[in-house]
Amino acid sequence: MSYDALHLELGENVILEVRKHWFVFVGQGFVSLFVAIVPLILFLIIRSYVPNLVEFDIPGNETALFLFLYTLWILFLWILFFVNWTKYYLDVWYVTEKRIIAIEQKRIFDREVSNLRFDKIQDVTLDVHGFLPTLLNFGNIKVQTASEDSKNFHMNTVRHPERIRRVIFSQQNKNSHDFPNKEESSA
Amino acid sequence: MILQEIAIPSFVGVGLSAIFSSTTLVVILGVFFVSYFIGSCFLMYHWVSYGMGSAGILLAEIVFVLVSIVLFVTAGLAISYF
Repeated sequence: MSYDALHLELGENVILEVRKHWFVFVGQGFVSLFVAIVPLILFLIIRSYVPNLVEFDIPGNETALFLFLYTLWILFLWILFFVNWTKYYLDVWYVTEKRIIAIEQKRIFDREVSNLRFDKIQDVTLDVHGFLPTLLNFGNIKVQTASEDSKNFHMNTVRHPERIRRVIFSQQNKNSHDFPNKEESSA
Repeated sequence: MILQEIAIPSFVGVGLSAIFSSTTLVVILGVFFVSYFIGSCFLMYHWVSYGMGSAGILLAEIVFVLVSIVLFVTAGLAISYF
């Protein structure tokens, strides 16, 4: 792993990467799979029961033509699947010893990067709601800040939210011990 | 079967032979390939620039490229059997 793109400070390391749970993406994958096989099933049903509907005046092999068109359809879905996967994978929080770097990949060409220092964090709240989230251990996490614009950071359906909160609090405590009351020490 | 008794007009005579010739299919595949290649370049750019060289990204690249090649070869073979 190379975190050059994050422009980390000297001696700063990534402790944790926070992503949405794989379950969310598997759901999207199943939708893609369903959309992929629907034309095939429709074609087979129509060919078996209503053959007149697929009798075209074509000089060549009908099956080869269907295979060609179907392959293009699968290719289209394939690249769409990876566009969605890229959005899923690049939507991530990097927790370092000093801050949280929140990268929000809203769309493929819409990317927002925010930094949040631990001394600005007021609270971290979790919301694990429902049977599946409890079973698979995923939920929503919100980091409330004390910054001037009071911007809150939130990510839905993250894996192991309790662990993330523990890491954030432990780093916050560590930072407050390492750099106690900056204002007092500077005065 | 009841469905077989339904009288649905066939498409014979619509004149699709002019549309679906081997040459047309090759042109369609070519246009599709160029579009696909441009889309793939955008994806690769994101993976290389923001993927931090992770194993997940590397695996995705390999799977994406290999399956794409197989599908394009299949499309090419389908044209040759047309």
